[in-house]
Amino acid sequence: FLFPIKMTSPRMIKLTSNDDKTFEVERDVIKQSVTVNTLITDLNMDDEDVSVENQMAIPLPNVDAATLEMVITWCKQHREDPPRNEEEEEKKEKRTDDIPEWDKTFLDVEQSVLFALILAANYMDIKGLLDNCCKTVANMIKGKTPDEIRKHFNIKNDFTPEEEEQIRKENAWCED
Amino acid sequence: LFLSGIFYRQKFAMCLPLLKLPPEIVDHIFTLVDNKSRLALRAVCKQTRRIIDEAAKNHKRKPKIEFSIRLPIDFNPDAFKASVYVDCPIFLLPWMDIFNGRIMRTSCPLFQDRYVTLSKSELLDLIDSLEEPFKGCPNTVLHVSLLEEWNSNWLDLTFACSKKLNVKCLKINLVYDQCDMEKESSFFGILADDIATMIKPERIELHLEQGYSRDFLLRIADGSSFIVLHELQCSEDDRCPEVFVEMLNRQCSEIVVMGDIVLNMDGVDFFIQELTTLDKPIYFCMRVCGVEEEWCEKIGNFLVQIVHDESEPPIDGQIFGWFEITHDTLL
Repeated sequence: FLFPIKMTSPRMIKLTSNDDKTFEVERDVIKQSVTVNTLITDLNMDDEDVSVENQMAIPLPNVDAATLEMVITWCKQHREDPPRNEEEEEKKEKRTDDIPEWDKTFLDVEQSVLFALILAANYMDIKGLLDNCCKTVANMIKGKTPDEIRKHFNIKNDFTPEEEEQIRKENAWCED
Repeated sequence: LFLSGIFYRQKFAMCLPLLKLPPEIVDHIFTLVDNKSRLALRAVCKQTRRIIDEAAKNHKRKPKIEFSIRLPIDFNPDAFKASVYVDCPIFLLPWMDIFNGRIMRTSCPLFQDRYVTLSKSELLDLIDSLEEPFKGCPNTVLHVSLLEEWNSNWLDLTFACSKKLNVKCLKINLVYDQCDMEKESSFFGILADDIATMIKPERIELHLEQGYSRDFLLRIADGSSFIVLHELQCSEDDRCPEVFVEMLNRQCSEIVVMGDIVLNMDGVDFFIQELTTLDKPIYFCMRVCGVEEEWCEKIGNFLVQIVHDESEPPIDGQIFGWFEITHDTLL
């Protein structure tokens, strides 16, 4: 005899980007986004009786499709990560050399893409992604002279020559 | 097509410049960089300078600043050297106006000292001009050294600076040669009384190379709860363990002993006996010579860590034991 085995397919959630592209993502994957997680709970979307077809898509008006796709890829990669203890994270020494290899490669993108990811991670409240993005930017700053930083991030020098001289003196006082 | 591609990339890059990210994110990124990069960021543009200076001001970690006053041999109360040690100068940036032009760097890169020769009134003015978080902050240390014979100027200055700084941590170096504790008893009496009744530091560090007066230490212990003793040289007759125990029975609740100390076997026995009954901690970072390994193990139960100093070979079968406290414990 063959007994029918009830296969429980993973619960899916629909997300819509600001350019109207809808993504279906596993509930377990997107739980890393505190914003989406809260919405799912508040809107009672965990109800298993509602099929994904009938489910309302969660709009993410601050995230475009390309960025959302990257966010989902990151969340899939990190779905098994243990939950973050923010208090512990706060106490930890601030380091930027501990970005996992996969993330390093994943975040090796154009500045504009990286900044879009930062905004999305911030909006969707995905601490791990936001942290690694910020560390990547910090690593871009490290070891650069003021002029190199300006060039790298396209920042205009708005100091007067007198102000520049003053800062040079102050910094000289502080340098080890 | 090529040019439009460049134009598109430039334009797109301009859409999301670093400094247009939400301020809390920019702040966070800037906290992740090292101090050298922070200084570089200060020099990038007005906005980055403001962010760095604000972050320094609001940093949870208060700047550690130590005012050291040394009275030189040719003591002139109106012009002496006051040095200012800061463990991380970038945290002093928001207060540059106060320090700038008045405190110069020394050539010693190790300690990052900043020093200036000031008159007494200039020093008091400088302290007056300090605001929070310096005054009353445990990280603000007043370090007074007496290299020559004491005089009332020294005491006046120590007291005035302590009061103005609302000092919580007071370091005293009494390292001048030929210190005759009996002869100087009135000085030590006044100093101990001032500390215990007027200054009342939470923490006091004593550097007493030439020995100590039991009475002086006990009176100090009446005025402060955390005492660090540096380089305390005890002769065999001094019975320093007894004094430590007596000190702990006063107001004082914790003692840290730093530096070499020589104990005789009587002292060792007394320590073992007393430490087993003490309910207050006493920490050592010191070298004890002339003791048996067995004793090192016994006393080790009360200490954080024992490290045998292998660099110094045993002399006549004696064991040298280093008793070290961890940095965290010391803090």
